[in-house]
Amino acid sequence: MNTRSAALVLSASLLVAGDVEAQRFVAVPPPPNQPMAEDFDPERALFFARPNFTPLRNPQWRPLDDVVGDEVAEDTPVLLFEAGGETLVLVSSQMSYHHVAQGEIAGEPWMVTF
Amino acid sequence: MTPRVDGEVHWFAEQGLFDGLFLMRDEESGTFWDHMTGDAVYGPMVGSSLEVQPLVMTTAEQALEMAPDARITLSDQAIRRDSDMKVDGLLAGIRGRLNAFFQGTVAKEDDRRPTMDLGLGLWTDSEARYYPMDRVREEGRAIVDTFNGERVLIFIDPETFVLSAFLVSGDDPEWRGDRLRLSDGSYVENGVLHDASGDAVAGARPLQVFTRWYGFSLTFPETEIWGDG
Repeated sequence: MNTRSAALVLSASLLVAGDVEAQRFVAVPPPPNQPMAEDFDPERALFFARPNFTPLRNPQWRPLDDVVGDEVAEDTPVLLFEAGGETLVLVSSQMSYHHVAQGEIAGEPWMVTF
Repeated sequence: MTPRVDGEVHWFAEQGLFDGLFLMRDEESGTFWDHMTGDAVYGPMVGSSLEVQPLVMTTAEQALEMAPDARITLSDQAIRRDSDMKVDGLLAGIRGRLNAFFQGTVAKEDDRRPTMDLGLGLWTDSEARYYPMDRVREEGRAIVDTFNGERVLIFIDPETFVLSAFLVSGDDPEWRGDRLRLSDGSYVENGVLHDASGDAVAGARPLQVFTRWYGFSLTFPETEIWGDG
């Protein structure tokens, strides 16, 4: 059993820019006997029992023009992408919490990671 | 990124760390995935890759300039101020290294650049190149290069201070105020590429990520560095 294989509670603060609240990460052993990509090392990786951040799923969309200068300051960092023939925007600081956003628009599945 | 595996939509969340970067896991197969390349790295779907599209880092005001009809979603997480984000970035730069939590997942860092160096990474299935931000700044905040057989403009946006890339036809970038002009009359303004007649050019972005050196070099170990040799 290596140091990461026992259920291990790790506390980390300042994980990345944006994750200022201390998070609790419960590491678990790697799932055994799995195919792996070249250069991947499961003994060096950390696997968590559950997601540490809640992904943003199937969000509701509003016109950007309705919120800029009001709920969202003009200089707010955002992420912009195309899906289902539309241009969609996510707030970077909110994505630094969620890390993954995912949904479907006009029948097209989309996902953003950050 | 398109979350479709063998024609079926899978649902993803952050659930691991490797080489200092988080891994996604999909609920349907339990496979772990590289969040930058979309490649399956551990689990039954190894050999599969998610389709990856460019993601634009900008500001809300500039996003509105780029796409007046754009739509936004606001989650229940508070929006942090731009100044707070800059402080976090500054602290990471001063620290100059990964914290211990991340470092334990890294075998050996590529020391050709400092760990927390900022730059733009471009990549394809067969090629990767990193453009250090300080070198682009030294060149007047804009360069034209050839990557994967295509001409690319690499520039520091004067509004957002983000390093970005467009596929272009022109050369010899020259700043005129906040407008970046190329030899063929095309120009970039407010984060939008325009042709010589002033029309916005759609779909002109290569795959790119504005990132720290450790993240790009550990994901693409064979990456070239623009300006080296």
